[in-house]
Amino acid sequence: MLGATMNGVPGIDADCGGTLSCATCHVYVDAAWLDRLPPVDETENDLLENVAAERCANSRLSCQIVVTDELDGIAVNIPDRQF
Amino acid sequence: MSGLVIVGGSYAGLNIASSARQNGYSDSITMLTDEACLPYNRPPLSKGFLLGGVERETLPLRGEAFYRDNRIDVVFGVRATQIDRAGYVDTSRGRFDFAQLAIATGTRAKLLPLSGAELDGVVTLRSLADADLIRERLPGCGAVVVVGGGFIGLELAASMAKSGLDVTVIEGLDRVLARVMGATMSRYIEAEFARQGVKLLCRSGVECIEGSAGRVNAVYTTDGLRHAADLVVLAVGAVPNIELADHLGLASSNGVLVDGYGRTADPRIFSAGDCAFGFNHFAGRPVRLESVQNATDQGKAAGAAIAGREIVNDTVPWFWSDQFDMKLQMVGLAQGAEREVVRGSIESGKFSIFYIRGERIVAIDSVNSVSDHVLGRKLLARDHSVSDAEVADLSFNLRSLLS
Repeated sequence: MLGATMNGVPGIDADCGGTLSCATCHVYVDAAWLDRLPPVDETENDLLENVAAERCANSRLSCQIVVTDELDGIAVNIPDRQF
Repeated sequence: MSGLVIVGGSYAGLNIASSARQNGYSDSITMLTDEACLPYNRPPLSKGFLLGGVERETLPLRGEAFYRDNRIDVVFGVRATQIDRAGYVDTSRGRFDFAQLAIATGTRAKLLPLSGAELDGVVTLRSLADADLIRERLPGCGAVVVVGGGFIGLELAASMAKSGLDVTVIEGLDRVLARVMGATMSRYIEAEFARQGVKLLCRSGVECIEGSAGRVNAVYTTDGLRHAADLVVLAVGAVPNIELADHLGLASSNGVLVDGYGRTADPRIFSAGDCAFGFNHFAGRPVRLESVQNATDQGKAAGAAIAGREIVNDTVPWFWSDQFDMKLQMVGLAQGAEREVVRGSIESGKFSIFYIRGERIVAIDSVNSVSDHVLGRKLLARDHSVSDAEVADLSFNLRSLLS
């Protein structure tokens, strides 16, 4: 999420600043990278149930993806809307 | 005379600028801020930033690249003193001409005319600079008195209690968050604070603040009791910064007057955020809301209006707060509600209070129940009809009301 907001990537609203309160930083994670992410917890799951665009198997909230060296090269797609 | 000048560099100012650009505004955009940094996330200031879990580098709402790419010129450390309808604003650093102007000056902390309020160690929290000051002081503190049981007061109290301080909260009304939440929720939160060891004094006023050698020592409540304090936080609400607009006759005492698009009565002057008192689609009347969501959405509407497009600000108001392990989320406006219905289990700490008028939900306050909150943000914007029994019944799927 910070990668998008700090670098001016449009389409990530991130209204709550990454506190798992708003579901406006929804992304679709490239399948090859999905398994390397930490699992979806209950709160994130509840928020994903209510995202504006379609929830898919590879839907995540980008505020829960902390970029590490292991994730160097990760590809995500941004949905057409966040709310 | 050309371009847009935005007075204020926080959520509303940023969203006015970005929305104006997104909607095709091509003239220059200048944002004047009296702070020394780019617009930043304020909610962590009373929570993660205070405790050290949220780092300074992660606070900016947008990075420098965003301002450069969108040609938004940010001028730091400048304070606007007067707007002239001829098309310029006087500031501490000279005159800025404008074709359009946006007032996004937010609020300032309300102060109390108390003896001792000027002592070293008596603080308020609005800005990053305020938070830095509090953070610097915490290591030497044992006891803290927080005056005010609203969101900022309670968040600070929870953070400080978490870091091992002896915390007392003094609230004038008979319950915390009385202005923004129903009684059931207030009682639940009070019990949680008591469980965490925070002393909570409701129906209590401050008589004076005591100090020695210019430093704060204690707070006296009106019942004559002395509460030792190394730090006193005044968190008794906020006052809208309306002076610039008031001078032009564009404000009431409760804010800069705007319509549902963030427009004032002067076609070149706009306003949004905590300082703006405007028609709210959901409320059906003018309101002034102090929230990130309102500053964001009202700012987007104002930015669009500046670019010549009408995007009405019709988002259902929502708010959030994190205190101890309670994720509190509020959606809608409970004023005018006839009944409170509980969904979920208060005992388990995972529930929502639904505020209902007729057969319509007008607000939902949630504790650790994200689903209810996010659903509410959609549902409250639509026509719907529901019974109290359905709301209370966990086997009834509220999502079915959306279709």
